Amino acid sequence: MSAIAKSIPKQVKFSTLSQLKQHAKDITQPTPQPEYKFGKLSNDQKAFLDRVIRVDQAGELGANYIYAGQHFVLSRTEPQLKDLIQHMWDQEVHHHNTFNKLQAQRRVRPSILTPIWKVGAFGLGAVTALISKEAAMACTVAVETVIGGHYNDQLRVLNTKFNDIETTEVLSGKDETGSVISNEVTELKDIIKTFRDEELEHLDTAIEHDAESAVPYWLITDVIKLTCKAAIFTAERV
Amino acid sequence: MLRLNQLYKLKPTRITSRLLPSLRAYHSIQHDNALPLNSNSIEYKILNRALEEYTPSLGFTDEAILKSTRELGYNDSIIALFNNGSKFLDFYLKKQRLELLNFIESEEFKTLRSETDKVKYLVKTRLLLNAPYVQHLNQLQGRLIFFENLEDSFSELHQLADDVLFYSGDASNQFDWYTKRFEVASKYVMLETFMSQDKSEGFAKTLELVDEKFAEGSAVEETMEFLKFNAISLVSLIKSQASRG
Repeated sequence: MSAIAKSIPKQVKFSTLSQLKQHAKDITQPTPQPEYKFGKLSNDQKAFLDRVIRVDQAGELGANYIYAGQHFVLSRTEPQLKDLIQHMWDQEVHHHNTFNKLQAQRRVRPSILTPIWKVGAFGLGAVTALISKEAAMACTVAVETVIGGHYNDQLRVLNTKFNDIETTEVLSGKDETGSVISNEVTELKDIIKTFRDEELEHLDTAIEHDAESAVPYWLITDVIKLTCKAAIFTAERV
Repeated sequence: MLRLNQLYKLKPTRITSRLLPSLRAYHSIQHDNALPLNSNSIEYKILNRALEEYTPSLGFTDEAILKSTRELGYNDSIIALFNNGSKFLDFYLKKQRLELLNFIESEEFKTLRSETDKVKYLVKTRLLLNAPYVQHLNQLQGRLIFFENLEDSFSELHQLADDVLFYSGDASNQFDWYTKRFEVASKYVMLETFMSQDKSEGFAKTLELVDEKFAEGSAVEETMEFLKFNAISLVSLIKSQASRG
């Protein structure tokens, strides 16, 4: 018996528990993530990010209040639309909160015109909803078209103009400029992508709900589009 | 190849950069954030020495800079770098503001919970950093409001208020962002003026005044309260007039 016991190699364990433990240990110890050191952003890049966060925050604030205005009117005149508006409104509130957090964390100055954006947006939502349910939907179409395009413009710059930041791997000192992008930038890209898709969903929803039968559709949408573009131009700057 | 600012007009526009020269652009969380002073530069070495050795006795004067320059073995003409001493004032403000970075790491700061307490602590800290130069504070303030220094000094004042609030965990997202910064900045100037005349032991009276000023409740809340009250009164007034017929 003792001879058999001795023939067993020392490290072998018969307890299933210890084997499982070892297994679990192997799984929970991830391979160490490479660490990177990111160089300075150029002044142009900083100015761009500064504007992106300010204008997107102001934009989502506006969207939030447009839906608030629509909800205020439509929940009384067209109760069947209440839940639909509420759903879109909730998404906008989430977008707005996300940008609020980014703005505070990255020390970006919010737009100084926020009180005006609030009043204007609520008024826009409420007035179009008072005209008719179709006009409200046409307003959504116009706003979401502009916002979708605006987000795409930002993504284009984020994708192409942030690849030249000096990046080195901390351990090996290998130069990774261009191949590794900081989470800070990728995260912002992901946020903007998700939000753009949700905004375009709202656009589709509005078209499904007879936005195009609003009279006069072209006038409502074009005027609102122009207003939105002017607001974007302003919110980027002040 | 198109440059970034050509593709997307990135340069801060002239209007915003003139009106709001002080506003910091984007604070990165992963990339390097450059500090406004470079402690390896000659300029820094000269001014720092002047500040530490000669300013307490000579004030923020050219004489202090000159002595420091000579001691470090530079030619007198280098004093032209400092723009009639304006650079020296700006340097002083920046250096003291950056000192706050050391204080937010302190145990005492970390035990503070509320935003108001943190703001009070940081304002007191910044005021006490003036202590060695207190007899020259009036001279400093007087020169900061010279026209040629106005842009820099307002910029620094804003940065100070912004730093104090950011370190205290301020997360205002709307118009209150501006009012809060304005409030801290204006109270700071007032307190600094008071401090320049304060003869009490360890500036006890100034510190007391800090507690008093920042305990009053924020200007934003009070303004909003005031507006709300007036809006409700207005509605009531209209209703009462309408019901009389």
